[in-house]
Amino acid sequence: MRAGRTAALAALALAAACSSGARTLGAKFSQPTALATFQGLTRARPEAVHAYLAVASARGDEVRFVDLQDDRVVVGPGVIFPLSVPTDPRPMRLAAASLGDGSAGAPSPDLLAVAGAGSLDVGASSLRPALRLQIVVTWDVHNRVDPALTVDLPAEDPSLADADLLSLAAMTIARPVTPGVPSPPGRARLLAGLSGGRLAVAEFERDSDPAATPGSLKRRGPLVVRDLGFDAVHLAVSPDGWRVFAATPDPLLDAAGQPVRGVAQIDVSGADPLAWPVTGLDARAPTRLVAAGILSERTPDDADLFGRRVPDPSVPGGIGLAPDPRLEVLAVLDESSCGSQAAIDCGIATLVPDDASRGGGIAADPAGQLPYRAPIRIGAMPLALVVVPPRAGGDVPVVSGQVETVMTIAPPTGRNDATAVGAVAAADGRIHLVDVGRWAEGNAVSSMRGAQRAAVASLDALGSSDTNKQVVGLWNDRLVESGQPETAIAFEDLPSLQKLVGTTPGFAQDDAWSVVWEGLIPGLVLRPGTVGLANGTPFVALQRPLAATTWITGGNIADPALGVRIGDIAFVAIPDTALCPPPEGFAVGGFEARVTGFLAPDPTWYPAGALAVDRLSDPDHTACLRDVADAAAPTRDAELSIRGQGLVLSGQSFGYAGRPTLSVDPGAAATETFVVEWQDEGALAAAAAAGDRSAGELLPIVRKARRRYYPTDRVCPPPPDKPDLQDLSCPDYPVGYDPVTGVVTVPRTTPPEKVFLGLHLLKFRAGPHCRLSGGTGCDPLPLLRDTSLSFGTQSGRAPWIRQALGGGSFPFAVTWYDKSLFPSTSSRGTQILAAFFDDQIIDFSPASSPADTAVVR
Amino acid sequence: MTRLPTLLAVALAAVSACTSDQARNLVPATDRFHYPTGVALRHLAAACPAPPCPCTAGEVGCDTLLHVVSSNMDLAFDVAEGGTLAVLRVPDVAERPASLAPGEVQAIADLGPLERGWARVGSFGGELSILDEETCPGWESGGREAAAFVASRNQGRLYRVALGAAGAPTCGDGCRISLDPVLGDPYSTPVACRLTPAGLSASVFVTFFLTPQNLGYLQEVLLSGELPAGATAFPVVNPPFAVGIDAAHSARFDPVRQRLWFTGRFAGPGTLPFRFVDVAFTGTQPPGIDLASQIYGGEGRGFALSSDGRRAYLALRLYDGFTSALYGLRTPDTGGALAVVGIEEGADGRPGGQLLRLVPLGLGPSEVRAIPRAGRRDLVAVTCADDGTLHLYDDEAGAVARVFALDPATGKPVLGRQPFGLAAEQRFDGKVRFFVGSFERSFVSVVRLDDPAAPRDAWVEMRLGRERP
Repeated sequence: MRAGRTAALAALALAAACSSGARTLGAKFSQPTALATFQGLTRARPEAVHAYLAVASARGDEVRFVDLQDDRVVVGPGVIFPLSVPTDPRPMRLAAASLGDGSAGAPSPDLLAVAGAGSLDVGASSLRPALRLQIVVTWDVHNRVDPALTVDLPAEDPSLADADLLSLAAMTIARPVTPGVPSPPGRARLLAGLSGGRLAVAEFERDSDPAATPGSLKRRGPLVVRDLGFDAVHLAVSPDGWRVFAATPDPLLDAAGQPVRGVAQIDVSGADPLAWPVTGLDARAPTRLVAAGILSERTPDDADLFGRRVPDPSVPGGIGLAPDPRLEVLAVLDESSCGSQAAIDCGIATLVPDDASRGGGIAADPAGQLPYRAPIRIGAMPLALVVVPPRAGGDVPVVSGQVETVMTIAPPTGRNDATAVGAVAAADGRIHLVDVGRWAEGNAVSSMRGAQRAAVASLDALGSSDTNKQVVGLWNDRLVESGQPETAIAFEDLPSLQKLVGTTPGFAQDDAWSVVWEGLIPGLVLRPGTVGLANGTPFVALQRPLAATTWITGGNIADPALGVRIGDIAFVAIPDTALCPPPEGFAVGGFEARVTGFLAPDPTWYPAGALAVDRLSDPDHTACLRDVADAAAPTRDAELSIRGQGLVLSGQSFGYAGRPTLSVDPGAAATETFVVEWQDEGALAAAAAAGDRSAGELLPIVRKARRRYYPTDRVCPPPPDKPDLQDLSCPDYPVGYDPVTGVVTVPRTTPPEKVFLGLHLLKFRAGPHCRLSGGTGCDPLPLLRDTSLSFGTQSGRAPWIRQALGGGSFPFAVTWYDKSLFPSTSSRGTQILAAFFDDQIIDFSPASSPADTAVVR
Repeated sequence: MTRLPTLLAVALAAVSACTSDQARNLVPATDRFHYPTGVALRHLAAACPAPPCPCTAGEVGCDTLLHVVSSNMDLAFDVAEGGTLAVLRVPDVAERPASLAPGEVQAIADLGPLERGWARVGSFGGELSILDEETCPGWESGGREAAAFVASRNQGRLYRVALGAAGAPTCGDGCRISLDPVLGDPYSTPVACRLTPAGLSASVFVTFFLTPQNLGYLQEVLLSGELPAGATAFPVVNPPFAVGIDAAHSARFDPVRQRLWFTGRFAGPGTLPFRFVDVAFTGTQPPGIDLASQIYGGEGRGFALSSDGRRAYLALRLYDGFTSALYGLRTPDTGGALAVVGIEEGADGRPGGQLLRLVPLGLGPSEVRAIPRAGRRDLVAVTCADDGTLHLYDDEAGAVARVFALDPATGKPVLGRQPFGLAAEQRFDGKVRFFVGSFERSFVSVVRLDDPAAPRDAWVEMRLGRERP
């Protein structure tokens, strides 16, 4: 018997020793959806307060602990199974905070709270569902929910009977609650954002009663409910300890009392929550997730250096770097109110609450172009967000001369320094890593160097097989300048052709573009509609009849945003082939007509609006139009397609992008080069609202041409000993080109001349090109319809991500911990921990390779 | 030794013959639900002499009629037509016995006093839809008979169950409508009711789970409107039409935009279609929305359209997309979520498809219903069959407001195991009731919410039907 037990134990020990891959086995999470790090006592380390990760399992109705030092799950009293702290059903939120009465060497147990999503049937009857915050015992090894400390919100404040829990945060009360009187240590707060624009605040303090368990907590004062006037859907405690930031979909008032949308800053330094000042920070859109960090940003002119350039008094005329760290708030914009049709793109806005010049709102655009810093775009929907600071004391800088506490990061482009990393758990199952100090999601490729840089990746021309017909070519204005005024369209020389289409890092998009003569306008191809005759004017509209003069509409074809212009060509396909015989080569009957005007909505004939059309000279078309739209049968069903007059530029993803000129004059580069770039949206919007159709057409284009990211590449430098030589690894740009500002600094001039090369999505000059020898002898213009030039662009960007090594379905929680605080792991820095729905947690460092990812499951 | 296999074979054959005969011959029970699936409601004025008799729920004299499809999932009854469509009158809020304590569940095991009738339908019935004056104004007042539609996956048929003046269901002549034999497992049967130049047009669009090469198909059954050339009478079963890769799952009709939306089944983690057909614009095939670029590893199930038509609420079953991509197989569910998708139309009239929220739910989200609320975004109810929960998501707050999960006293799901079928009733007095069918336990729970602005106050008002032993 005894020998058997020994053998079994030995086998168990052997099995444990031989396990690999996952650092711990049998954590048995069950849909982990919330994480929090805390200091406390457990059976795993009963002798001292230690750091753990609390993991709430939504399906398991429990919280489990993971030892942050070795990633082993804390086992329960039964030894074989992990410790389980049963909670109310479906725990979805965790929050932890120090009480501020410990030290680095001798931490004290933290406040650890857990709450469910939605009220649950745990009350006395189904009429009395619970909405409560449970406190987990961290001050003795019998970890459990302490019922005496549970905050039952409706029980403590009946006005909360209808409240939903939206958010939860915990914070140390570190600031003096009374001016001039230091706050005694040993206090912490729980803040619960509730529906109805309320914030519930519960305070806890260390229980000094000698009869109490050492280190235990007790409530301090009653629950306080503050009517904020907005729903705090997510809360983040500022690292400075005296502010809490709340993401909200609701309107706010900024410091000047002006209405704004964005993040609420709640000054929690006072003792009375009812008196806490609240200030709205303008993010130009509602927000739904928020995180805060104190960090330095890169210098404007050098992506590798952090800090602000200041005169160095120790060196005559010298320049040094001031650390200049500041509080920054990252806020995920609510996708219902951002995007290419809204005032700001979707993504993560960077707010600077202490920057008076920005009114505490979005930081300035480092390129000086947009009126605000472009949001950090994440390729998928963010589900959780945290700002990860450097380890205590910082990592050893990769680039010397740093003056700031930095952390090492290792994106695929190479090791580098950063001052903070944003970890974003997203719906694509990945953790996206943001290089906050460089204003962008980390880039896994170089936007200026290598095969995946921002550039034109392919180019082709399509036209008639008859080489006498001209095709769409591109002017090589360098040749024009050098006295060789011809278009260059040598397909065998793709690299040089790529330079004929300009695209800028930060604006370039992954897309397939086409420039087509009389091309179809995107969104207006084979659309079901109606052709008719109303008030003597033939019209086409996106609508179908419900009754004689009742219509269901499919959009306003006359909306300037669609890009239709006077003179464009409407192809009206009529299913009745007896009425309109199909043109030769077509299966569908119909006719073409010229767009002659834009018709405002008419409730009888075209409730959404219509295009006035006129007959083309083709007699067949004329007959057909006359027959289908006459007084006897004023409207007929049709399929509508609109072709532009001249060249039409469109992107497969971008959509309609405008009308380049077919430039025939060699000297017209200044006026006929076509540029797709951002412009002042405010002015365009105002002009569009005033009825300016060209502004209305341009506005959606410039919005889609906004900056998509800030390049994290360094300036293309010349070799040190040859200042005029091109950096060959940076082939598309001249020496001294700054990818953020688009400015090249010419080093030879004194003072150095700065030349702005533009910040554009696309730039090219199209022209007719004759493929015959010598480039002459072709048939005269116009081009044949559908003669086209197509090219592909690549963005120069790939997200820097981490994911589970196996599986990894839907990360709903992310947090971090500085593992250098443990003597045994002092070489490690801050680690990021993310929980996935498929019952695993990954633990990784932004400074290590993806293979060095620990898994706890 | 040599006799044993023979004896075993004989015994097995006897058992097999016995059980199959029993199953084939048994008339489905009409005193209880049996693996209920589709659930729907009608409202009829009690004293109405002749149709149409629509009324508003909660008004005095307005009967709430509950329609429940029993699927005969275990084939305990007749294999072919062992399913039923039951119609019951649900006691009104005002009829609640005074003897019951507040919050106490009124258990009504005997359905006899409530029944309006039972009709026999094919086994493995799916979603249920109703065509009457309430769902299609002008239908009954135009002299047409109200009907319920349910497809049988076992029979590959659409059942058009006539609903008599008092709501009694009958499956008589014209009840059994054959569908395309190449397509299998018909499931969703939304009614598209719309005005056309030819008058009131009504159709049922049927989705199919089992399709060649997993292409999506819809089949339209025309019930009224313009009679197609060559047809002599309604219903006219149109040939199915393809809607792109991935079989369709659940479908809903947006009567304002005359747009039929439908989710898809699993076709790989790189595909999560949410497509639509513009019914008014026949012959065109819009591209639809693919959510896979925003969500990796989700499979659509039921959904609801918001009351303002600007959002769709999709029940998603989440799985490990990476492993699925690696092995080309659908891996087990890891969780469930509600995707809130913006479908507001752009300048060109096409819906957007922006993912606005991804809300974690329980396992096995199935059916979804949305309730409009004055001045607030909708309240959304989702049944999660695999973990026995009903979630109430408050789209105004952007959070789950209430979860009906396990009974703390018994440890059993409050609404029965595998809650699946779902119907919602918005009453004249502002109250809301959700009807939730427990597939596994075979009863229907009524969840009541007196103030839709306070969804956490929802409570289980009654339980209809006898729990399956």
